[in-house]
Amino acid sequence: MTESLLLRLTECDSLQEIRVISLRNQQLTGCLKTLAKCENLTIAYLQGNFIQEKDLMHLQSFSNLKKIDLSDNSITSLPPAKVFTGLSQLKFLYLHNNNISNWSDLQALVGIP
Amino acid sequence: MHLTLFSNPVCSIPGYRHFLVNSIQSLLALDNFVITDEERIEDASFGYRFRGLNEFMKLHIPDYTKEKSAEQHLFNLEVDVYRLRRIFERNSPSVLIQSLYRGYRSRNYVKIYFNERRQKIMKIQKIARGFLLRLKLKKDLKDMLRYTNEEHLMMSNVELRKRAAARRIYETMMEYHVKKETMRRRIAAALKLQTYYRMRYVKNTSFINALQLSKYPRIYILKEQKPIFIKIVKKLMPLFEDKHGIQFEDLMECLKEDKKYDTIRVTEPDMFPRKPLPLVQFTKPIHGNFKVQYNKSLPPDKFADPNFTLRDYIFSDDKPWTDAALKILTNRSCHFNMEKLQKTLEGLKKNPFINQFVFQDQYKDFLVFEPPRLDIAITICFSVLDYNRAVNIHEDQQMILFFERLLERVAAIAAIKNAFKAYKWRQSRAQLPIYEIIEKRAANCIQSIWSDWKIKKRMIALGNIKRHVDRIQSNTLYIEQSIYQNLNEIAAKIHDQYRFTEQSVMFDFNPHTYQIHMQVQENIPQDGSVPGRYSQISVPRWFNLALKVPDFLATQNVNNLLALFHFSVGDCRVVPST
Repeated sequence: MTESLLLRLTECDSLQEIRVISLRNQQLTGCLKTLAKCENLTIAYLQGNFIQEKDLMHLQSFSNLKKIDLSDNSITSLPPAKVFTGLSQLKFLYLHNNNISNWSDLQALVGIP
Repeated sequence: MHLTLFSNPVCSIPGYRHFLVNSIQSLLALDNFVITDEERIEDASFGYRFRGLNEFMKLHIPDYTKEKSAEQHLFNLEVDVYRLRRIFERNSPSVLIQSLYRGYRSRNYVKIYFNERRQKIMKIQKIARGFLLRLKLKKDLKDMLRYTNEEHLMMSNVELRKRAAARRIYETMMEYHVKKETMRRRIAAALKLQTYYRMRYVKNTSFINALQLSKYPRIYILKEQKPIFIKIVKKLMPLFEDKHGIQFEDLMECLKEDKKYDTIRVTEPDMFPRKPLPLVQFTKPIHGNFKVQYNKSLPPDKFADPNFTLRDYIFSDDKPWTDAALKILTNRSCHFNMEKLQKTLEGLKKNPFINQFVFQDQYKDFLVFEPPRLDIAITICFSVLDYNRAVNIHEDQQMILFFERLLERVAAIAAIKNAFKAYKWRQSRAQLPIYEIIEKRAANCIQSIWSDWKIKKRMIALGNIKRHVDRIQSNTLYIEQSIYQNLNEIAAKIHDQYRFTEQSVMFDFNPHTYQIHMQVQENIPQDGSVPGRYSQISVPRWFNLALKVPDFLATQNVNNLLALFHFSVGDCRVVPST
């Protein structure tokens, strides 16, 4: 997942313009690193992919994100709590149908403001 | 904040929901249910309605809808947030208690406020209604006063003054207009009176000028009124003798029979409508090419014949009137076209009211009096006027004078009428079908003459050609090269047929006599070839000369010719020169 591909898909001139992105069932493994450059991203539909824990580390830079759908991914564990503190605008966080099994992951969610 | 974690292994750990509800401050809903106060506050219970994981608390996780645009997605996000908050607020007991209390307080406050406002509104209404009523009453009063013409009772001093001024102005204006109108009528009446007076004066005096007696110094009278005229002239004789030294005989010489105007007698002179000025009454004079139709064959004594039954035809009962009319006719010594007259009279008998004009014949009815001096004519005119005034119209005839100017006019009118009638008649005739036939026949004649002429020309031309050909002495025929080439082609084409089918006239050189023989191709040749196209038409019959059979071998100087045409008995051959 590169920046140019992203621009081509959304038909935008720059990454700053992207506010809504839908990448459902695309079998992506690491796209958040690229998406982190979209400063104004508000809604992200990412269900049905193969996003993993180390990719989730990039979540802390999504300051304007209001809704993110990460269901039906193969997430086994969540990043530490400090990652979630950056998501000040977040209203909807969908994590169902994943493989989170540790209690410590729930404690990480406490970081949600 | 809405978080979903169901279908994860971690969900099966007991106390998972309790932990998350109490640890995340902003969390409003977890998985499929909204978090209630009962879950937050320890050991609290608000009854079934507000219990946790209730069916009221169930939350629908919005699907990924296939909105077209990103704007739609963003809008739906806002809607979802609002919906989440609403479900929480409606089902949270603490929020409910707060809202109820606030509602109660605000209603209380509003009640006091509304009471005050209502009183103020009523006050305003009272004042406004009073004002409107007074206004209406005032208007009604004014209307009433206007009906009874007592408007001035309501007026202020200024208005009253203005009204009085307006009335004064109006009255003055009316007075002025009435005066003006009266004056106008007086003037019109005076003018009319003047006109009538002047007209009367002119009628009685200046008809001489109107009739231009100085230009046409002739007076016409009817033959039958000659005695009256002589009577009038005799009365005037002493005056003339004194003034001009003219004798009666001299004047009588001036009275001659008129040859200029014929008349068609319309009515008897007595039947003229009587007018206050009988001098200018008309008959219908005919003048110019129109001839008088006398029936010369009728003997003059025919009129005196006792068998003549004109009386029976014209006049039935009224004997004295008939006598008078016949006497007039006798005086005039007129001749009649009896046939015509009879026809007219029969028509009159059938339809007496329409055919008033009995006499269609034309007469020399006038005597012309050409006095030596204009004064005499004028004097006579005036005396005739006096005579006519004095005469008793029921017993005697009035003297009728005719003036040349009027007669000329009448003659012109009659001529125009006749010309127009003739034109109309010719026009009506032009529409007859016989004229079409005549036109067609004329066209045919022209065409036949033209075609005859063309044939004649053609004959002459052919004769000329024959004459020229006769003059040829040599048996050598020189042909232009281009013609020769054409001849070759033609010869090649017609070799089988042995004939020039396009040529109607054939030439042959006889080597012994040096003559040219021409023959019209008339009959279909025996060998079946097609005859010439123009053989029947183009050459006249006298061209048909006897064909003399040339001897093929006898032809000399064969080699000198470019081409030779040889005739044998039934056909011709073309022999190209070698």
